[in-house]
Amino acid sequence: MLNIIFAKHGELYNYKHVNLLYNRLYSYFPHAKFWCYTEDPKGIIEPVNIIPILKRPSLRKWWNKLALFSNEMPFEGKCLFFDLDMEIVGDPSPWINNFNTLTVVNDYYKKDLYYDKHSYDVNINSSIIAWTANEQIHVWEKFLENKDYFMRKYRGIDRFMVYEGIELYTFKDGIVNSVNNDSYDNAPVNMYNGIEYNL
Amino acid sequence: MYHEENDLFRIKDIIDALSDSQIEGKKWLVNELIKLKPESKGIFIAGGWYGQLAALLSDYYDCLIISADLDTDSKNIGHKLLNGLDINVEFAVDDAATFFMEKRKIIDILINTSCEHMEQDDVKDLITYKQPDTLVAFQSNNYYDVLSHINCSDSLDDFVNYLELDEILYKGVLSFDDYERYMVIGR
Repeated sequence: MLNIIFAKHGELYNYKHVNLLYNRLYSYFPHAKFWCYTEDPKGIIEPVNIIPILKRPSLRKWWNKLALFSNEMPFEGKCLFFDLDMEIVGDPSPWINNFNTLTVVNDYYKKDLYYDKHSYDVNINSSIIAWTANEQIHVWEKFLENKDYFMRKYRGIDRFMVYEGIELYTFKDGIVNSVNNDSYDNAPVNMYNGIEYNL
Repeated sequence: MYHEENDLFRIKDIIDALSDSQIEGKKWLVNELIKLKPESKGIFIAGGWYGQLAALLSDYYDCLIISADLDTDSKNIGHKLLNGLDINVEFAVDDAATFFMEKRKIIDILINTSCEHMEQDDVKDLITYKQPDTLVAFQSNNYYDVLSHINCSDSLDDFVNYLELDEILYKGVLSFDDYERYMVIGR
């Protein structure tokens, strides 16, 4: 069983983003079970199963994504996460074939940029993540070791994972087209990282 | 300069801990606290960070001052920052609520200047389990822009209301450019 998972916290994105992602992805993954990890399920359509935000620890915005690796999640087996600012325009399944590792998106458009470790720059992003449930619990446990400091130190979970030594693999290039850095016109997913994506 | 063994962010974090706004908030607490309770047999600081407040308090109080913080490096760095100063500060790397339970009988001043970083239930537990006469001096803020602030208060009244103290001896607001800091002293 494949689990397709979204996370919605705060007001930057709304139920329409969840429902649109469900509708687009369902046509390519009709046998998947869909989930949304959120504090506000209002408006999310029924085929998407709601996972209430963990009561503890309290986290804000994207830091909640890390809780998906905890053993308190209800899903089992293969997991595929999509950020809510991902626009599905084709079938991403040919790129998604390995759930044995923690796999994220390669920021192909950053390959010629100066990579500033002092600023904790990264060249991956977690807009799409593939993993197997309960096999990446160490990511969550590492975060809990010193979560307040990590949230001060890193502007997001990508930096946290890279600079805290989490073993990461990337999907083959071409799975996403960064809307800000058009390169892969035929990519199945348009990624709006950092760009307004209102519905 | 960058090396994975070197945590360069610590430099920024220590600078932030010693910034004007951080120190101003802590001096405000000390100035109001010594008016209400000039002597103490034991002070506990929850979320004491690198011991900045403990150092300020030690100018006025001779008693044991415990500075507890979950940050695993806070103790080592705190010791280095305070090294050579003749102060009676004990650092602890522990969950403040749990550690306070062990020490509460020797504490008559309980301080938390970082309520915005702590679960609200934990902040309230500190008050629930303190000795009845123990004085509480707590601060929070409405600085929502910082994502590690998981328990901000919208206003001084909001902060006062959730603390549910039996007696309030002082409450006030310190305004900065980006946010307001709130303080309540009571029992």
